[in-house]
Amino acid sequence: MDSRQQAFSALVHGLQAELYRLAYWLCKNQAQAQDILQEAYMRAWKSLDNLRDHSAARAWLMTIVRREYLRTFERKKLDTVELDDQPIEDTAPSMDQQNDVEQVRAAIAQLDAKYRIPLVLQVIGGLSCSEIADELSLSEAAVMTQLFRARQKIKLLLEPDSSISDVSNVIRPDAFKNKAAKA
Amino acid sequence: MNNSLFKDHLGAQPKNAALAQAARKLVESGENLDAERQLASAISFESEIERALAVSVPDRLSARLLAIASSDVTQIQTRVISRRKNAWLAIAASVGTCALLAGTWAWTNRSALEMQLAADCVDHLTHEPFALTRTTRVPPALVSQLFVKSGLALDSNLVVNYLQPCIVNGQLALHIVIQQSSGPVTVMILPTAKSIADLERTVGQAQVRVRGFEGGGLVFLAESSRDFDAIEEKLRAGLRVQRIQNTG
Repeated sequence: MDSRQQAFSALVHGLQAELYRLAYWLCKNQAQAQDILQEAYMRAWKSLDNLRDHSAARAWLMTIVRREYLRTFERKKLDTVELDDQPIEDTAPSMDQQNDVEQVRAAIAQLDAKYRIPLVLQVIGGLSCSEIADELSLSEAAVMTQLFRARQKIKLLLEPDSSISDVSNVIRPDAFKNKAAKA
Repeated sequence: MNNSLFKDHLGAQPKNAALAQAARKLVESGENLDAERQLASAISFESEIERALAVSVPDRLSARLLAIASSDVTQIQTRVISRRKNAWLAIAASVGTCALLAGTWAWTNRSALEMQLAADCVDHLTHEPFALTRTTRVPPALVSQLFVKSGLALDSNLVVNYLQPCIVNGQLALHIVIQQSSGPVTVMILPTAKSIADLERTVGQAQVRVRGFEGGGLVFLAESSRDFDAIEEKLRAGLRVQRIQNTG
C-alpha cells in the first residue's frame, strides 16, 4: 500500500461512520447514503493530492458528501427563512423518558430538510453555527433560527397527539436576526 | 448574556460552553432561578438527539470504500442514472412479479426443493427491492473480496451493480444484480445448495431460471430472460466454489 492509499485508508477508517450518518440523515435512505458516500470517497480519492492540510480533511469530506447529496437528489439550495422579532419563551425541554431512540429518530426524519440539515451538520458534523452558515450559504442568524426550530419541532413531535401541522402554530418565530444585528 | 439570549442559545446550541457560566450568573442574579435546570434539561435532550442520529453503519461499508483505492477508479461508473425516476417502477415491478410468482408456484407440481428455493428467492427480493435500482458498478476488488468470503471465486469481467451476501432458503447466498438493457437481472448464487434440478418458467412477463452449479445452485430472476444465457455463460466460465473463509 503506497502513501496515497494509506492516507485514503485513514480517511475511510477515521471518518466513514460519521460521514455515513451525515449522508443517511440527508437522504434518509440506507442504500442512497451508501451510494452518496461511495461517490464522495471516489471524488476524494481523485482529489486527494489537492488536500494539503490533512487536519481539514473532515470538513472537506463533509462538504463533498453534502454537495454529492445536493447534486444527486436535491439540485437546489436550501431556502432561507424569514424571521420575526417576537419574544422567546421558555425553551426548557420536557422530554419524558418514554421517548426512546426510535421515536426521536422518527421525529427527526419528519423534519423538513431546512431544519434537519443544519441540525445534522451541528450534531454529527460538530460544526459551529458560523461554519454551518458558510456551508449552507446562510446567515448565522438564520442558522440559529433553524437549529432552534428543529429542536422545538422534535419536542413537539414527541408529544402525544402531535403532528407537524401543529408545530407551525406553536413554534415561535425567534429573533436571532435582530439580536445578532444589535450585538 | 441576558435571559432572552440564554434561551435562544439553549434552543440553538445547547452544548455551547458559555451557557454553563451564563446559567450560573442568571441564577445568582435572580433573573432566571431555573436557568441551570433548563440547561441540564436541554443537554439531556441533546443527548437523546445524538443517540437518535447515531444510526448503525453497514458492516461492509469500509470494505466498499477501501476498494475504491485498489480499483481503477476511472473505469468505475459513477453516475446514478435517473434513480428516483426509475426506483418506483423497479420496486413496483418486483413486488408485482413476486406476488404473481408466489401465487403461480403455489399450485405448480414441481420439485419441492426447487419450488421452495425459488419461492424463498422471490421472497428475498421483496426485502431488498432497492437492489434493482442500483446502477453504480460495484468496484471489482470488492466483488472479488465478497465472492471469496462467500466461498466463491470469480474470474470474469462481469459488471456487478449490487452485491450482498444474504441468507436465503436457510443457506448462504450471494445476491447480485446486473443491469442490462432489458432491465435488472438478479442472480442468487448458492454455493452450498444440494441437488438442484433445472427449472425454467415464464409467469406473465417474469422469467425465472434455476440451475444446479458445482454442487450449488444459481437462480436467475428478471422480467426478460434475454440476458440469462449470456450471464449464465459468464458465471459458469469464471465462477468456482471454494471453501468458505472465516470472515471474522
